[in-house]
Amino acid sequence: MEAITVKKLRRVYKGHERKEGFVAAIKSLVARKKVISEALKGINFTINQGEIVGFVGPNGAGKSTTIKILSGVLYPSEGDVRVLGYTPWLERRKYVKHIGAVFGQKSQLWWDLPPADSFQLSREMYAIPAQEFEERLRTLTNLLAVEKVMYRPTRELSLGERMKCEFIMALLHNPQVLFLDEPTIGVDAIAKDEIREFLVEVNKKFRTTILLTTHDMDDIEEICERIIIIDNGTIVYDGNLEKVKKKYLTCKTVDVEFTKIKNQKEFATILSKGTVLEDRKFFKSVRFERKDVDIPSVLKQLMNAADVVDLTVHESRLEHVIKEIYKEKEK
Amino acid sequence: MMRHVRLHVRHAKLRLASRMAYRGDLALSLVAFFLVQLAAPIFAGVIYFAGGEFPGWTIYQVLLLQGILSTIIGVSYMSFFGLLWFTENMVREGKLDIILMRPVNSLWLMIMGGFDEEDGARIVSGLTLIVLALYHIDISGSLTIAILLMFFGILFYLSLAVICSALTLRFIRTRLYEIVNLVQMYASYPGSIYGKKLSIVFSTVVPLLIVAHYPASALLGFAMNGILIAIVSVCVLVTVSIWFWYRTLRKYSSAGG
Ligand SMILES: Nc1ncnc2c1ncn2[C@@H]1O[C@H](COP(=O)(O)OP(=O)(O)O)[C@@H](O)[C@H]1O
Ligand SMILES: [Mg+2]
Repeated sequence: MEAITVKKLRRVYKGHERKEGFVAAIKSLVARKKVISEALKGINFTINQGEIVGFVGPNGAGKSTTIKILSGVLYPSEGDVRVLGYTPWLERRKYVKHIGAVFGQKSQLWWDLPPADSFQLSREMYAIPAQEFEERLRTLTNLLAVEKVMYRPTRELSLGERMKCEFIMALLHNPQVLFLDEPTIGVDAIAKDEIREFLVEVNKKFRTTILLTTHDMDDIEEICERIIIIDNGTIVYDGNLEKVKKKYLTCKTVDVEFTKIKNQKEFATILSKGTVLEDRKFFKSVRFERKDVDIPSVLKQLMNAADVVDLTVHESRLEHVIKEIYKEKEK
Repeated sequence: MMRHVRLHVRHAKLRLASRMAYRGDLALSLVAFFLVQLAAPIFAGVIYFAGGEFPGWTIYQVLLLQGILSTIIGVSYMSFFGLLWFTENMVREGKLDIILMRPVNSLWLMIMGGFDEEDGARIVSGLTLIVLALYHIDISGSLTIAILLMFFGILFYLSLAVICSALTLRFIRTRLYEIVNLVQMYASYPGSIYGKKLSIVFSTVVPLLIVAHYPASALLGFAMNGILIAIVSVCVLVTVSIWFWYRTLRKYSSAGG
């Protein structure tokens, strides 16, 4: 069953150049500079109930705009959106009962209260029956191991602890759809792992549909089966994660760090056999097609051409795969 | 509606509980606040006692007026005026989205977020002033009417908070509290000290006389010229301010902040 359908969604931001302060505001009433930007250029996608979809793209691609429209807080300029049968921005008050959201940079917990109190307020806001509430709270706090933490004031919690509580806050009312906008930003590796496991568990247990934007490709690799890649307001890829990886995994990436290049010409020749993904003064990341070159001999040549301090070979990272897709579309 | 009231009460209770559990200083800070509140009007009183005067009002009658003002401000600040600071924080942190994502009335939720227990001390100092003043004067007016008028005074403050909050939504950081302080200053004295024109303004467009002058007059049995217009004006202000607030919020969500 379809949980989310988005058709020809367009969003234009009409703004004025606005400076802070009262005087500037008054001035801008007289002479203001109009700025128009098309954040979404007519995107289409469908997400089925129970799916976890990674929503990926560079900064300014339109991810947050999409999430805001889907969650009912922003009006689109054009297009149709149905989430759980609702048109989010038209039926906002009724609709938001059925969704949850976590934004990495915007806390939903009441700052001066312990998370446990915020949860109580949530219970009141969403009119969750007491017994159901207790049960869900127990399950969720168990999964994230925050039973003790949640009684301390929010402002005293570490980012990882707080984010875990944010997830609980977003899920207490048993939303069918969960929107996550960069929820793991700044969180340490261990907490990130716990959060990922938690999300997979929640998805399995409650069949929660999850749409996740993140800059951390490990997030995507560990929990999503499908990714939608958006760039500059247009969807450039939508499909199975494994497939896209396989397609681009015909190659290996070599990272080489060095202190000096001994033979400039030879070094350049080697690099020219592959595609340079990262190019810094003492560090190169180069992708080689396996059918074109023999990786061990490339390594040997690199050692000869430069004073190498570190050399690693790995499968192409998802990040690079995605960069590659952007480039293809730009052509 | 009941759910909204319950939500507000629960939030206030949780705030208080957490304040007491984590910061034992609540009592101390309340007492300090109380004394500061009490000091200001007494100070003003002493000055005018020494030199200046209020046409038709004795110093104790003025103290009564200031006590009423303090009480009204206390009630307003504690229960809804925090809306202003809350709005500012939400806008600055770009967190209005989160308010919009809740299945409850957005204005109500933001008023709730601004609850501040410390302002309770203002109420206590206001009531103390009233008692102090009444000890020295006879009341020949009506207590019921005075209380009713105080209620309208609170409504006036509500409209002020809602308008300022809407303006904050639009412009972010606009030093609106200075306007509020101005209102408080002008409301601290009997209407008789203002000239004719200003008196008219203060009972119509900006009916700030309703905050203290009229309730005190009602209690003292003084004439209350223009009271009906002031009451109507307050009702209009409240309606318009709430309408304006939602309009601004809708604009915000179509503009994307
Ligand atoms: N409130 C706004 N006013 C004007 N332009 C905006 C606003 N919000 C976002 N934009 C613009 O829309 C585009 C998409 O932004 P956004 O959806 O936040 O991207 P992402 O989340 O993918 O980084 C960007 O070019 C951004 O500058
Ligand atoms: Mg974003």
